[in-house]
Amino acid sequence: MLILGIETSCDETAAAVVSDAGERIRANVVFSQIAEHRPYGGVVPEVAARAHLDHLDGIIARALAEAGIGIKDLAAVAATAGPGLIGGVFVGVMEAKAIALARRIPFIAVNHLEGHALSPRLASALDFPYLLLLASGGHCQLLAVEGVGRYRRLGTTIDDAAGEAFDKGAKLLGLGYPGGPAIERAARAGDARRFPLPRPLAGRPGCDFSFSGLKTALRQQAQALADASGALAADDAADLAAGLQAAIGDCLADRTAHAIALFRARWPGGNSLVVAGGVAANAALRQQLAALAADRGLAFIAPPPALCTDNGAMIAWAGLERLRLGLVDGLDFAPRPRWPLDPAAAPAIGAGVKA
Amino acid sequence: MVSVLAFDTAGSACSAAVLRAGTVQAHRFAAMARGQAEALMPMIAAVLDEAQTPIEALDLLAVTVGPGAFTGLRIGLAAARGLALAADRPLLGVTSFAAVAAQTPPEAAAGRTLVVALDSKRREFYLQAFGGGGALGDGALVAPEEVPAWLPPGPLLLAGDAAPTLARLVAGRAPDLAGGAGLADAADVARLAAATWRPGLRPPPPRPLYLRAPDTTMPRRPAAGR
Repeated sequence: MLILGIETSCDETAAAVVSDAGERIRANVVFSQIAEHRPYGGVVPEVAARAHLDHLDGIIARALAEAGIGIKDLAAVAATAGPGLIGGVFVGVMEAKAIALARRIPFIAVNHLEGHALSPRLASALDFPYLLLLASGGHCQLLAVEGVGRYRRLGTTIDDAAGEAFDKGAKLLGLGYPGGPAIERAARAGDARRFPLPRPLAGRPGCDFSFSGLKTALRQQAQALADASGALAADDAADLAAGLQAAIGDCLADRTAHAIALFRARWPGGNSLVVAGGVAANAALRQQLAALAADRGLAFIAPPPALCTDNGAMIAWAGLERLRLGLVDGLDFAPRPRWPLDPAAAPAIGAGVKA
Repeated sequence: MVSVLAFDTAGSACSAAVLRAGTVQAHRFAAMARGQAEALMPMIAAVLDEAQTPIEALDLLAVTVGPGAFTGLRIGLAAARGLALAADRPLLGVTSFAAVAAQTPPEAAAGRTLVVALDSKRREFYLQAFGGGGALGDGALVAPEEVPAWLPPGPLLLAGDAAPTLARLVAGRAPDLAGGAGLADAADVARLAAATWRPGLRPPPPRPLYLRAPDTTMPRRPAAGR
């Protein structure tokens, strides 16, 4: 059974073909819009939506060609239907619905967060329940994953997402966009101990995150070091980048340690810590979280970096998992700009859709 | 005997139609400012079903490309490009200006220049002039203060959902109103597309007609001095 997965909720136009048997990922094509957004120093929603429309059908055709199949070979089509930048989501959902209608195959509306949450099961054998740290440019949450469509949120950011802290930090340090890889690159040459930055909420009870204070502290440090034109010396920028990355890593580890204790108590059958989302592509953070998992006796699972950042394969896989359970959607499905994985969890006022 | 499926979601409506041999076989139209992403596919399924026309039996797909609401015109274009890809059918784009102008045949304009004025949801108008059975120049985004200079000389007949607003703005020209809701309709889109169809037609994917650049602000300075 072959499933087409479409992802258009941020700045990657992506399509993939995934199979339930044999080699799972038959094609995984990601067109990054980085060049379109770089002049603005971040993702501009309307620019993204226009680029998705221009590129998506070509990306789908390329995914089918790379998989060596025709559109007639598809058993179903899945698309990210939220949460995310809604203009782009509309494009992906409508192309998916159109393919479903024309080919008379099921359409599956996938929650982008569920795509990330289930992605480790695409890459390796992993049973429910597991503890998930989902950290991306738009989200930062700790979740107990009980099954497909069954999530319990243990903690969430109350302001910025972890990836947002990287992006805003990189912009502040003049390191460019996207911020995650830029900070990671600069941090390699930096001394994380030179500028001690705060670890918001670390040591406090609970599993929530906060990164906005960290951003403010970084700005103050950077302003103190900048020359008259506002520019930073390369070694100062590197040291600040290393300090930022270390602070984010310590925050993630501290809050995840709390979540592990909670998860252990409430889901004694679970024995894995999974990290997913674009932030999980950061090698230093993976290492730190892997060490935490080892210390607490949990298996550490992180999808390969290409499946951590946004991609169509994880959407196709989530679609496949839902299809197996008969969870298909109508062609009247309305895309959802806000779509929490755990609808029972209380909203975090400062985080908006990030929670 | 050309068979066409056409649809529109670019303005404040959602519509779909199947045309065969010059006759509308099935047609749905609903005024709506939003909700086209939910309404469109069931509407397309309904007209195909009612016209007893499987997608494979169509010669041509047609869709409005705007101008209109950015999200709305992308809903139609994305659906159209998905259908064209999945059913391997040619796809033609028709502007919302042409679709609205088609509701006023040349003889009805009778010595007046037809100006189609579409709602931009902001203070500006989307405008295009038509005469002698065709467009007179390109469509444009026109600010109210630029409208008098933009309008062609001579008697005017205004159409489109922004026609009443435009008529008040240029009341001194005593323009006539074409009347009706002034919204594009898939039935007209189908007829316009059918008129340009010929066997073997394989146009490139239709381009959206936004007429307005995205709202963006350039960063003042990418470094720490802010």
